[in-house]
Parts: sequence; C-alpha cells; structure tokens
Amino acid sequence: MESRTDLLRGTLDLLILRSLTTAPLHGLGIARRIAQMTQGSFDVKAGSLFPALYRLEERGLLAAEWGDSDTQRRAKFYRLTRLGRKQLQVEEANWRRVAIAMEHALGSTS
Amino acid sequence: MTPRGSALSWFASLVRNLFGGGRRDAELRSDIDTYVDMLVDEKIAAGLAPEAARRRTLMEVGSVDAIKDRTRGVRAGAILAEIGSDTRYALRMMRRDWTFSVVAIVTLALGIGANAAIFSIVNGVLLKPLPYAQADRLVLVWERNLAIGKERDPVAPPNYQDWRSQNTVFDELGAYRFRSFALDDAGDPEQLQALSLSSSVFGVLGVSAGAGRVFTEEEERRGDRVVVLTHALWQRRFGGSPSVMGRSLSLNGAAFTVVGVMPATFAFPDGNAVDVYSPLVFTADELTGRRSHTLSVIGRLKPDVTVEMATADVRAIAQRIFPTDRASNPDVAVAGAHDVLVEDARLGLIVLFGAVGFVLLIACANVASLLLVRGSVRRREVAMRAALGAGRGRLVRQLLTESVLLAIIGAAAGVVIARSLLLVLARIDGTVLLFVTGAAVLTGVAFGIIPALQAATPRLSDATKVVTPTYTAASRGRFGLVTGEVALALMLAAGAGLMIRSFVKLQELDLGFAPAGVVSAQVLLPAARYPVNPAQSRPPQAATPVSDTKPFMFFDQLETRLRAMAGIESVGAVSALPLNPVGTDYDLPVIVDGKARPRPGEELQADFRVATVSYFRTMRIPLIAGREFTEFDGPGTTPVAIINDTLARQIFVGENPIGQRLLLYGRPREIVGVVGSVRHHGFTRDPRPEMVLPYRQFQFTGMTLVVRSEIDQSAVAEAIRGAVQSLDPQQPVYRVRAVDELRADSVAQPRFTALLLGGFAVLALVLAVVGVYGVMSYTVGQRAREIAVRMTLGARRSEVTRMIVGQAAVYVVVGVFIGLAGALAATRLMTGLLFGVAATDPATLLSAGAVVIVTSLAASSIPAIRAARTTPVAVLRPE
Repeated sequence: MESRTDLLRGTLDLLILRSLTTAPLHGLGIARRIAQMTQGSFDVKAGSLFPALYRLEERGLLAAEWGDSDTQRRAKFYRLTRLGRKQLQVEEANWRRVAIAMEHALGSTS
Repeated sequence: MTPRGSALSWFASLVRNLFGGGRRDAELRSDIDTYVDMLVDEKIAAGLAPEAARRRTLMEVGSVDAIKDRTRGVRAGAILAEIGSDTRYALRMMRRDWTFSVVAIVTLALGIGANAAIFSIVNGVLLKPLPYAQADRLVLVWERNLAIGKERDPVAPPNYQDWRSQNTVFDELGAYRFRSFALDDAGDPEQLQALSLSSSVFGVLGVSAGAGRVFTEEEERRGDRVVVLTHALWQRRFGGSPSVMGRSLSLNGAAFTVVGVMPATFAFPDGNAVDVYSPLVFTADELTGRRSHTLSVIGRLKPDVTVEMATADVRAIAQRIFPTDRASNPDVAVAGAHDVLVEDARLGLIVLFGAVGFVLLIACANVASLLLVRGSVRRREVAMRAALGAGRGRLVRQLLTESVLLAIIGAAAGVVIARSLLLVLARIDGTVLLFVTGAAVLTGVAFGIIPALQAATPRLSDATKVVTPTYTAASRGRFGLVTGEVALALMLAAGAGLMIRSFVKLQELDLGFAPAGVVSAQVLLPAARYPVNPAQSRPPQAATPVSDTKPFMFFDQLETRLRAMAGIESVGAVSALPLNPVGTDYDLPVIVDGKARPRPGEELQADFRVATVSYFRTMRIPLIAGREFTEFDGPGTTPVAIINDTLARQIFVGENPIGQRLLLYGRPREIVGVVGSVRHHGFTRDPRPEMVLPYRQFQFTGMTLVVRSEIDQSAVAEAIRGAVQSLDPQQPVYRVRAVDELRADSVAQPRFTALLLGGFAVLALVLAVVGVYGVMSYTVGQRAREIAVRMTLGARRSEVTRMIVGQAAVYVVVGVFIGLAGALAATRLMTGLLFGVAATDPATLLSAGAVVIVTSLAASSIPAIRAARTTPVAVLRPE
C-alpha cells in the first residue's frame, strides 16, 4: 500500500497542479476534478489528498485562502502560484517524455 | 525531504509551523472537516438521511485523526514539533507514574554518573594533548643499555650535546634536570624547587615568558646567574609585583637576576611542582666524561618524522660514541612525551572505564526490564492510540522519546553525582558534557528500543479488555536481561576482587624498614654558606671524599640537638630516603678490589648512598652481618662501607663480604657490615643493590633527616624546624612528611584503582540484585493465579517458595557461568595491574561467583516467600 502511494506521489502532485489551471478549488473540488480529468481512473482519497496539498503549499507551488463554496460552506480554496505554474510546465514536459518512452518500450516488446 | 519549490517559502513555513503551530493545526482541522461536511452534504442531496449520510461518509474517509497526522508529517519542521509534543507527553507520563520514573532516573544517574566521572579522568589524563603547540611532536629521549638492564637511562651532558649538534630529526632538542635553591634573602628562608634547563627547552615547548623574557642561549653558555620565575612563585613570594623584574635574588647564597616570569597557564610537562627556571650549566667534570647520567632530554620532532625514525637517527649517534667512551650507552630510547607521562595510569584507567561501562549496561538492563513491565501496563493506552490512527513508527518514536528523556534527566543527576565524587580529581568540561549527552541518548535508545518495539505492536483487542497476564516472549526477554546482569556483575566482582587482593598482598610486602612513627624532612645546605667543597652537591664526580680535618658537621650537630628532646627516640640522615622522590640518588659500578674487573659499562651497578651513624637504627633496617657505622668512622680512620644483602648475594657468592674492599671513586673501602635490603622505589619494585658510606667520611650538602618518635607529627616538625633554625637561621627545611604518608602515597594509584573498582562492583551488584528482585516480583505477580490454583490443589508453601527460587536459580546460574567465562577473558587484560595474584586466580573467581549467587537468590526469595503467603481465595475470587 505504502509503495503504491510512493509510486503515485509524483503523479498525484502533477494531477493536483493540473486540476487548478483554470480556477481555484477546495479539497473536495480538487478530488472531483481529478476524477473527471482521468475519467474516473483516479479516485483520490482524503488520506492522500491532504498530505499532498499541504506539501505543495509548503513548497510554495500552491497558495490558499478561505472562501464560500457553492453550498455556502466556508472552505479553503487552493490556487496555483507563479512558481506552481512554472513547476506544472516542467512536470508536464517530463511526464510526456516518460510517457512516450514507456509507450515505445512497451510497444516494442509486445 | 529537500524542498524543490523555494527555500524561502519552506523556511517561512518552518517559522510559521514552529511558532504558529496551534493556529496551523486549527486550519488543517477545519480544512478536513469542511471536506467531510461537503461529502455529507452531497449524500443528503442524493436523498440519504443526515445520520446515515454522516456514518457512510466517515466509513469512506476513515480516521480524520490519521489524515491529520499524516498531513502534519509533511510540514516543515514537523519532526521538531513532534519531538516537542512527544516530550510534553512523556513528561506527563513520567509524572503520572513517578515511582517508576524515580527508580529509573536514580538507576541511570548512578550508571551515567559513574561514566561521567571516569570519562572526565580519562579525558583529562589520556585524551587531552599536552598544553603546547603541536604537542604530538614532543618526545623524550634517553640512553639505553639493555645488557645491564637500563631501559631508560638519563643522559650524560656530552651525549646530549652531541645528539643536539648531530641529529637530523629534531626541530629542537633541550635538556633539563631538577635542582634545589635555598632562597634566603627576604622573609622566611624557603627551599625552592628549580629546573635547570637549556634555553632550547623553551623553543622545544614553543613557550615564552609572560612578563620579561626567558634566558638566552648566550646567557646559558656563559653560565650567567639569571632565573625565570613561575607565575605561582611570583604571586606567592612577590605579590605579583612587576618590580621583581631585574631584581637580584639570593639563591644558595649567590645573587641571581630575575629576567622574566612565565605565564600562569604554563606548567612543565612532567607536572612536578617547580618554582624557578635557571640556565643549565655543566661543570668541567661533567663535560670530560660520559659517566654522569643526569639529564632528561626533550625534543620537538620535525614534521613527518616518526618516533622510529628519530630512534634510528639518535641511535646511530650513540653507536659512534659508545666505542670511544664505555661509560656512555650503546642505544637510545625515544617515546612520545604524552605517552610517557600517562603510561603508568593508562591501564588502570582503561580497566575502570570498562568497569563503569558494565555498570551502565546493568543499569540499562534494569530500566529496560522495568519498561517491559510497564509496557504491558500501558498496552491499553498504546492500543488506544493505535486505534485512533497513530502509526507504529509514530508510537515507537513516542516511547523512545520517553526513555531518552529519562536517560537525559538521569544523566543530569549523574553529572551532579560525578562532580561531588571528583571535586579535585578532574574537571567536567565541554568534552565531558558532550560525552555524557551522547551516552545518555545512546542509553535511552539502548534500554528503550526493545520495550518500545514490543509495546508498539499492539493487538487492537487490548484497547478494550483488561489484559490478562500471560507467560510470553516478554518474560523470556526479561530473564535474558537478568542473566546478562548477573554475568556483568560477576565480571565486575571478579575484577574488583583481584584488584583488592592484589592491593592487600602489596601492602603485606616487607619494605625492609618500619615507616610508622618516623617523620622525614629535607635539609639542603647551600654550598655558598657551607663551602666544604662547593662541587659536592653535584654527583657523582663532584662528591669527593672529605679528607681535611674541618668537615662541616651540620647534620651531626642537628642530630645531637634533636636527640636531646623529649619523646624523640632516634635521629638519622640519609642522602636518599626510600619512597621519597627528593634526594641525591644515583648508582655506580661495583668494583671489588682484587677481583677480575668486567669490561667497563658492563659492571654490576649499585645505588650509592651516604648515611649517618644512626640512620639504620632509626629506620629499623636490620643489620645482617658485621657492624653498623660508629662515631669513629671519620675522616682520619679507615674508609669503610656497608652494603645491603641484595648486593652481597649478587657479588659475593659463597664468600664472606665482611673485610672485602670496594673501589669507590678510585679509593678502596672496607666492607664492615651487611644490612637488610629496602624497597627503595616502592612495593612493586624489587630491592636494588646498595652501597652506603658513612656521612663523616663522605658528605653531601642535601640530606633527608629521619626522626623516630612517639610524639605527634606536627610537634616533631616543629622540633626539626626549631633545631635547624637554632643552628642556622637562614636555613630552610622543606617537605616535612611522615614516612607512613610516603608509603601511602607510593600505593596511591593501586589504592585508587582498587577502591573505585570495588565501589563499582558493589554498585553493579546492588543494581543486579534490584534487577533480579524486580523481575521475580513481577513474575510472581503474573503467576499469582497459577500459584493460587497449585495451592488450592494442595501445594505446600515451601514448595511454592522453592519453585519460584528455583526458577530464579536457573537464570542466575546461567548468568554466573557466562560471567565466569567473561571474567576469565576480561581479567587477563588486568594482568599489568595485578601484583602477586594471577588474573585467573580461582579463589577470587569462585568467591565472586558465590557472592553473586547468594545475593541474587536472596533477592529472589523475598518475592518467593511473599508468593507462598498468598491466600488462594483472595487471588481467585475477582474473576
């Protein structure tokens, strides 16, 4: 279980950054957006989501402020910082390279 | 985790987290709570009843606390914050169970305190370099001649000069020797300890004067009368006044000019108390031959030169000299200055350090076994926290924080204990505190890790039910600890037993004289006021026979005056008193008139002494053959000598020594008596051959007075001072000491080692006994039901007692066997410290084993008897 989380940690960070490109979102919003973006493949649980959010906030990639949700609840809304946007570009490029490489590797052996 | 984002933002977070921890926690909590509430909202919107919606949500999400914990874990400085909260929690737990805490802290304080005390000595003596620049390059150099048993012979002045001019390995080489000055110009006359040293010694040590200057090589060569004062003498005698510079002092009746004062921090390497430094001046005699071995030589090696290279280099010089002058020695010895100074103390300190290590291990075992017991008590609490989402690592860290905290508090108390133990022995400095802190943390982890791992592996059911004690792996672990403690305690007891037996045996040895009731005092007559032969104070060629008719008879008159006093039994004087480091002490080749002479340099050497008529009587050194000196052995009569029986046995095999003649300083002397041998250098050294001449025929200016009396030591000291002053008001008396004190001093080191080792062994035994008692009490508690059932079924009390003690006996006996094996291996290292006892002495090992078995079983019998007294009904009813 632990090792799976580790494997996905980089992915999760990237997905969170990606989910915030259009608008600030609160925790549940981010989880829902990720599920939507991945067509339900990733269902991020609170136990992974919050550590990741706080880690990204610590690193200055995310910023947050409290605001009201659609359902009139006081929630913490996360948004990308300038540093976060830059990091997102870098990670996206990395991920594409890896994905293409993996695609080649797996395609050629089969 | 290195922050990839921005170091600045990470640092800002760290500050926020550390100082705004509470607010940040609240924020995290409401963030997660909102998340949960929103999920509930969604479920209600989908048509679930509010209650059901919340329940479903919580099942999906899991433990909110666990999420919080994990999230907190990623924050900057999380570990620091966690240690803080763990420490607060640990303090709360310690207060709650304060009996346990006090027992653990006292145990650890004893263990760590003993370690701090011994380490501070080890650090001060063995580890700290000498207080000079690049002290690792300082070496001492001696002549050596193994053929006649001289491993480290002092150096003859011409040899020193040749070494200095011809060597290629030293940056600088210097020489020094002790001498003594009577300071007699102002105030009370005082005998000053002086070091005559070559000016190069200052360069070797890399030191200069604190005020004024040190003397120059020019002044040394000319033999100028200049001195440099130590800071202590400057303060004591001259009140630290700067006007002392350039002032003239009357030393031994001659005027010396003060040119400088050494800094307060300066001390000469060998630690002997010195008052003044004067230039090293050689007599013409000293420079014409290589017979006079009087110098200590110290050198500073060139960078990258090893002791071996230096030995080879100086040896080559010595081997060129030896064939031309057989009074020299064919070989040399070189050794690091620090190594030489600590070599006597090293082994004893290492053994003591090992011993306190054992004590600490036993203390650890005790606290670990207490923690294991407590671990089962705290199982519910731990299980509860685990159920609430605390991870195993988190729990272990919490429990370890508790044990390290115990160890640190114990260490603090231990340092206080150590300080009161040591007061004068050693200083507790930064290095020691660092050591103690390290030891405390290691100790905390060592005794805490196993109980923590065990306690942090909870079964969730433990959270709710009352724990029924069972006989588990934990019990086996505790017995392992008991076995280990017993083994360690036995090893210590064996080591201490050997040391104490050795010390007792040492004390039982016959010194060859009776020290009790004798007071000694040094009287050094300055040659300037007693000009019999100014060179006489300088051995050996300087000491020429007194042949004129007006010898100074100071000591004769002194003896006569003292003997007249009430309570004084007898009075004598000698040039070098046994066990007394002060005195004119050297040896000469033994040449018997009419016997074939061995090759020069290969003769038997015997110590040379001068004594007054009643010296032997006063010291109760027995006369074995012939006669003692009499009033008639004077300048005008036949030159005579007395030898000791060691020399008689070595040189007159099967012959009568009486009537034979020795050639001393080229002059025949008839042997008139043989006296018993004394252990001149203390209990551990065998007696050496000696030749003694009568004071009336051969005079030294410096003698040690011995007074045997039945009166109080201070009264004798007063009497001696009074008698000396009445003869010469300017004449100082110094080092007034009871000979019994000198005897005690000579065994101070073995006594120190035996005493401390004995103390540590007792401490170890007490801790081990407490450990056995604790574990057995706990076992009895655990087996209460079983015992009650047995008794209900008809077991007698004595059977119950025997069963419990038997259980303990198995572990104790196993421990004793392991301990005996360990002791056999470990005490071997002590061989160099032991005297007259083999390191494997069966009597000592067996009695140590017996003591350990008896005390451990006594400790286990208390809970055993208590177990047998229980009434079965009372035990069985509650369940």
